[in-house]
Amino acid sequence: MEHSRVHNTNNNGRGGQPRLVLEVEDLYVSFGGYRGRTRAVNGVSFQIHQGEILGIVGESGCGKSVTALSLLKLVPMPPGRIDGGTISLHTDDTTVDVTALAQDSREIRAIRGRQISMIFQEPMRSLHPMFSIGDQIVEILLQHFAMNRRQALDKAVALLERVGLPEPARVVHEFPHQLSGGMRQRVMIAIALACEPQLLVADEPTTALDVTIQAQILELLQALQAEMGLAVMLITHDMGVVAEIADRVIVMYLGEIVETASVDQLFTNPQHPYTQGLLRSIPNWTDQPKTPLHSLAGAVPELLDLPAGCVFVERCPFADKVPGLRKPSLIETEPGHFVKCWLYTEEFVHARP
Amino acid sequence: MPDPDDILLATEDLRTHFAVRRGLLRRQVATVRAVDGIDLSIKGGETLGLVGESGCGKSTLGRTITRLEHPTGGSVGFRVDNQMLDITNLSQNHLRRHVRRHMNMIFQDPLSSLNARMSVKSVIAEPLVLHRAARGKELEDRVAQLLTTVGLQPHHMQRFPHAFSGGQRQRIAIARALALQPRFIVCDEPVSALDASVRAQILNLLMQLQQQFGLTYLFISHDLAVVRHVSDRIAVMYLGQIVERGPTVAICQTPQHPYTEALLSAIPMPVARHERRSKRIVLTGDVPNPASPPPGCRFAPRCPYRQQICDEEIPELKPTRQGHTAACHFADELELVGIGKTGAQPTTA
Repeated sequence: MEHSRVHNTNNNGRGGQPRLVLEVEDLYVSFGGYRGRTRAVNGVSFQIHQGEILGIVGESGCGKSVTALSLLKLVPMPPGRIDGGTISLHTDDTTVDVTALAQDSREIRAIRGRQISMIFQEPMRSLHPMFSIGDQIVEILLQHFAMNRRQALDKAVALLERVGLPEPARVVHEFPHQLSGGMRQRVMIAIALACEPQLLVADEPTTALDVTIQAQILELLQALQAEMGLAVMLITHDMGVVAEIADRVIVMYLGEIVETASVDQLFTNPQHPYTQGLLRSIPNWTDQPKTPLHSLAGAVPELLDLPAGCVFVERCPFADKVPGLRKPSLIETEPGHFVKCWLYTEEFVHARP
Repeated sequence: MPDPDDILLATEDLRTHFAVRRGLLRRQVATVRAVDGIDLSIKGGETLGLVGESGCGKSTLGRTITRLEHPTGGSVGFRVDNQMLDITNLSQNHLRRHVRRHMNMIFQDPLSSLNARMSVKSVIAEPLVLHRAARGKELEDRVAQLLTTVGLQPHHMQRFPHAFSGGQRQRIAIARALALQPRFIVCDEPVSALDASVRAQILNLLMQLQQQFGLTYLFISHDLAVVRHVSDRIAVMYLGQIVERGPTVAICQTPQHPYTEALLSAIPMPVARHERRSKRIVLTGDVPNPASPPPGCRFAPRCPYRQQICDEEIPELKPTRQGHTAACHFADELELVGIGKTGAQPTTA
């Protein structure tokens, strides 16, 4: 699928570079429990620019959702705790460090939905079953804008039309259970975009949907993103979805970023043994059916006792050739392509296959 | 057509309808035609992949074939002791005694299909005990052996399901399904709840077990990429009916039903942009309500190639020139696009 990538950017005059929307630096998040602290996110840093779709991929428990929730201070605290790092949100004139805000402060509430909004996997669990679709869109508009109910309702109809719902004037009075899964996710997108935020965080937005409906929603997200110059952080376990719509990709494993690159770099030249293994384990459309698939040995270990060195050491096919006890750092192997693996250091280049 | 002696399971015009009841008197207001006229046959030792979206009736079909659901009409034949047996109307008692041990099921979410209060040993031993297949030391040996077969350790039998990861739980469910050495297993979305790296392990295990024990699978999934990898033949379901079926590679490379083409086209491919297919078909709308399917072709309201005849006449499932079977008025005229023939190669690692 060839999509023209429209980067609708309001440059801040910085040499044509799209404006930086969000900058996460060295973020650490953990959760307390009776068996000890679960270290969900360990030293994650990344940036998102305006008009960009950043894909974050990883398997369950890799910390991708916790990272996303941290951006809006939605990690339940306690048991959750941000142990370190900063999350800087750049608006037109100011920069706010989200980690420093109290969870129920006026400042964070002014950001939620207005600057950063979020959509989740199961729209039925995010929508209130007892309020009409219209009410739920009007609520966020009245929260953030000076307008009356009548105006807000008109805006709600316009939003529903924009996300491609048929008969928006009727749907606005309907309730979530009257809609199909795909329509509900469209409603969620309408709510998320109601206040024209800078950043949309989409956490597995299509995982609960059928593949033909998924295609519709991805197409919609892409169209809206291009049209509004929105920054999107797309969290998914599905390499296909990332390849389809992201510009840049972050691969996470056990709370750390193990590789980050542009989509084309990652899929033509995956470098981390985890990324390579993951991509090879996906059934290939040119394979002979009924042949064994490449599979990574073992399963994702528990976050309670993380390996001291490389997080992937227990499952890595090259682990015997490199120091397991020391932690590698992110190394830039080609412009914009970073990988956290010993194999790409001068010292161990000989161990590479 | 395969030699009738090879056929392990066959259905004829199989229908499973559910009544929708409303009000104080539970009056029947509608009928959901979950499975509506399915003819299929599965040869011994093969895997038939059944794909379709949620609500298309694929799980109901799997449950009806194994008689967990009583069919409304049509018939199911299953080979027992080299004799084709019509199991459509057999009593549960009769089924238990003569049929059940030869067929089994594996479900999507092993956490809900395994009893959390039973140890792995009792979970796997239960079918053996119920069918009086083993007892005492022999029973324990058999459980240990089954655990080894699915890639677990015999000492795992003392533990409870919660102590295992998703992939290991699915291995336990597979061990249980294998306990009575069945010939036929219905795998209903067996890897859909698993992470990518673990999914490959379970798919490999299922394929290896098939080789080892000569198993026959009905492999139900919404994921065409997975189905393509494990199946000999594929049947595509839409709104309670099979719209296309044929050999795996042929279905994926040269689909002959517009719905199959759309399904293939909607799959996001993990490849770089320049290797991407050029054409993408995004279907409009949702799957219609199975209680009131469209009058003509059931796919017509969403079909990009719809003509007048599609709204008026129900297309028959008939052989096409590519050698599959498709239910489309224009199966032989449309030039549909599949995956896997040229370019479009995922995974470059």
